[in-house]
Amino acid sequence: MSATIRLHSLRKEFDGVVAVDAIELTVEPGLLYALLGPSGCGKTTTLRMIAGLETPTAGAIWIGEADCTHVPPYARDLGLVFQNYALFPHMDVATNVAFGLRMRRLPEDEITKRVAEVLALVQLAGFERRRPKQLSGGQQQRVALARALVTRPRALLLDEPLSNLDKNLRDEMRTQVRDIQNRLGITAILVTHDQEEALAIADRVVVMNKGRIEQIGRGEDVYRRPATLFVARFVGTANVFKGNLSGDGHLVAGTLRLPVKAADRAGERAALVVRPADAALRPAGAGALTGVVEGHVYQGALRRYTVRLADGSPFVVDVPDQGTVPAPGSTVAVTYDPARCHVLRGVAADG
Amino acid sequence: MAERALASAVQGDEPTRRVVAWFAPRRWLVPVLLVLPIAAVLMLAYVIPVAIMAGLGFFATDPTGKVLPTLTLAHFVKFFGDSWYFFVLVRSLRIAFFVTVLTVVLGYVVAYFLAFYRSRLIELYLVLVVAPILIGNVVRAYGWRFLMGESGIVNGLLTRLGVIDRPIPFLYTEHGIVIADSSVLLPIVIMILLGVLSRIDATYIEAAKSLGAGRWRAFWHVTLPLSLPGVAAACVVCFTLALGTFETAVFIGGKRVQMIAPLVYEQIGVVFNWPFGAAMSLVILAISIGGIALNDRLMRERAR
Amino acid sequence: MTAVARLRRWLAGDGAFKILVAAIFLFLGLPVIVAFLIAVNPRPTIGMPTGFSLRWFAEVLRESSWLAAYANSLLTALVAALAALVSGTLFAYASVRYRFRGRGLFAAIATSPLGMPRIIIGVALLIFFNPVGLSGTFTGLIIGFVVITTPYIVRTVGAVLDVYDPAIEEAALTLGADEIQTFFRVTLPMIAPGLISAAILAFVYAFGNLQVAIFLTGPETVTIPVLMFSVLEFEGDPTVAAVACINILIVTAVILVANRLVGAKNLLRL
Repeated sequence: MSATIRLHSLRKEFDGVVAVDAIELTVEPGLLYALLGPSGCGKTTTLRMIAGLETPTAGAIWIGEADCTHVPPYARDLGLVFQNYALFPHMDVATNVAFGLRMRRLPEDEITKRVAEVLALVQLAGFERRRPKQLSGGQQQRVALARALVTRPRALLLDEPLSNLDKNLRDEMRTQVRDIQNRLGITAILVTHDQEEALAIADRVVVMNKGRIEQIGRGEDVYRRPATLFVARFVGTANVFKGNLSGDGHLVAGTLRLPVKAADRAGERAALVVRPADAALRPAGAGALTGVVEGHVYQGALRRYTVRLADGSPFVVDVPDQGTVPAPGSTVAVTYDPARCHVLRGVAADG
Repeated sequence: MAERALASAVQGDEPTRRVVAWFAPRRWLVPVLLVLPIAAVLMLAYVIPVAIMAGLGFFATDPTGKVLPTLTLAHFVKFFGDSWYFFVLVRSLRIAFFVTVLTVVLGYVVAYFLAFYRSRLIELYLVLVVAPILIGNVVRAYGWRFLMGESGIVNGLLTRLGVIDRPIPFLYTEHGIVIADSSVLLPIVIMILLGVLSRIDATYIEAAKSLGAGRWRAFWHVTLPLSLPGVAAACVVCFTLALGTFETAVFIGGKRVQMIAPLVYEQIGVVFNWPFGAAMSLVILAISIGGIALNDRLMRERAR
Repeated sequence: MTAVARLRRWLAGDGAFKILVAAIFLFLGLPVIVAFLIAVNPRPTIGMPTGFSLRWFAEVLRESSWLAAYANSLLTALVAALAALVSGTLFAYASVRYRFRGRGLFAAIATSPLGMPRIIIGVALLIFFNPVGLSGTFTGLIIGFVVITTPYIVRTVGAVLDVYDPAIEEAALTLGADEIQTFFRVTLPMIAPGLISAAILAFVYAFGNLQVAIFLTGPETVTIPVLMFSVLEFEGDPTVAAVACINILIVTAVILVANRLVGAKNLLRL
């Protein structure tokens, strides 16, 4: 029931502006893929093309075993959850949810049964007669989800479904969405600009930028081994140093000599990515990098320090909130474990 | 198997599908067909007739009024050259001007009230504003006629109260027309200005107040300037409507205070001198379009 | 604080303004009130009302010319409103949901009758319809009414459509409804209140119109405003006031029904 979705050389232009630039993607059945990227990267346009709401300028979309590039949206058998929920204002919850089933001409008793089932699934049992305007944002969202799922579509598409909810509700809802997707084993594509969300619930993260896919991989892979500097910077915070490999386990970036895990390829251009959580502050002299503490931002469980290195570049370090606190202006050493820090080579290093 | 049944239900069986499928390769046809009915009506019953009317004004007539196939400017010459016709035009413009000033000022007051004074009765007020439009200009002009007569209600009341010794003439006077016409056009102007004022972001006014402006100064320095484009638009609409004032002109002005629209009616519907009537209409139309274009130009200048 | 002091305080604050507003409202409504008073005045002259009588209403209902005029007015206004509603709604829908060349131009033309001196339309239509035999006919009159009511329809329906998120129709598409099904099952029900109020507005406007009707009516197709006008030009018959009153009552009834159906807020998207 759950389908594979394939995008071949998919391209979309709007009035000469390229929104999606020949992307290739295969979405494995039963998995949740997150299309992640900043505004304007083409993720929503891609989703809408998969749904059939936009026609590609070039390329093909395969859903299951069929080329659906030119199939109208009402014949694609997909479920779509919109950012603003798009519930039908003149219908009650049950009628909203039943809409897709009525379009498929299912018998009434079957419809009633399935509606009750899916409302129970999203924990809105008993809400059949309510009107959309009587519901909170989270409840409307769940109705939208129920409406999309009740027809047992081949795949579920979600367009930033959680961005209109407040933080706590968002965390709660994203777990619920993930649970339901897992339980039903339905292929799902989620568009989001929130990398925390993508990392938290997606089986695969697809990082997009300016209409292109920068990297596809598990959340951990994308975070730990970013393929481009854009990915390194967009997914989580990154300290990036660009320079040339010395061949003896260092990266020479300007006046800095940074330990890296790559011991070969002398002279090659490379970039080092150090995550703030992988770095630590030590008393001055304890490590290769020395700098002056500029300040920190208190974030509850940790403090995010900015240290100004000898050559002027900033270094962000996350320090757990325990023990002594280095004062602003004091000189410290910054250390990190090179084995945990990714090195980008060659062209990727110039991102 | 369930998939196949689903596919056919979603895809093939609906009668609407066949229609939609037919249109699929010809998507551009859809908006064309949707627009067709209105386009037909507007073209055939509006644009073309107005164009023909505009053109008719250039055709000569023989002394019996029959239309001759020769082009001439005689009707326009007659209209502007004859002191009577020209006088009527100037008077109509003058009255339209005063009506506009009076109506927009009064309308602004009411619109301001409706936009900024929260009230539970707002719906009732709006109905009170709109209802007179729906009741029709004939009825309202008729009502004013009764109000304004020598033994009409207003004069009767004022005499009873001892405010005046002799009845003030309203009927068959220009100021009478201005007053009555203003009352007739007020609802439309109020609705336009209400739309304008309610769109002004209240936070601008709050900002002004937080910076120390009192109610009057906040109004003068913030609300009024922001509403000016809308006020200008309301003036143009009001002027155009007032220029074409008909019912009020006939009932209040009568033959003694002739205005341009009843004059056109007379030429077209009574004297049957169509080319002349058409020429007059064209002049009125040109003035209105000129007013709209001027307003447009001024708005664009301000926007820069 | 004494009553006088309180009054003075109120006047200096909002009070004076509110009185002014009330006075303007009175100015607005005066002629309507007067027409009502005249109609119930038993004396057949212009002047202060002396009592209450319904004799003029009875006279109206007996006169076949008035009854015929009512029938004509109701029929033509109704047909014109419906025709304008259908064509105007289709246009408004196409305008908002599709992009096509000339969209702005069409919209401008469609709403331009509002900005034109109303007499122009009557004159132009008479000149055009006469040679084709449409002057003085119901068809010609209805077409004229359609032209002048179309701007209201287009504006009202356009405004209503603008409010709704296009994603709602997209949702219907993804759920299995094609464009036609979506329009009838989702779009139309959603904008129904707007459509009703637009149609009512159009009806009432056509019903009370003089400046177009006066050119396009013939002896068979006389409408109420035209009849009132011709009677009044020559006499001050209070029967006309009774007719005016009946009109007021019709319009009030229509407004009340519409308010019950769709709510006053919807009605006022002028």
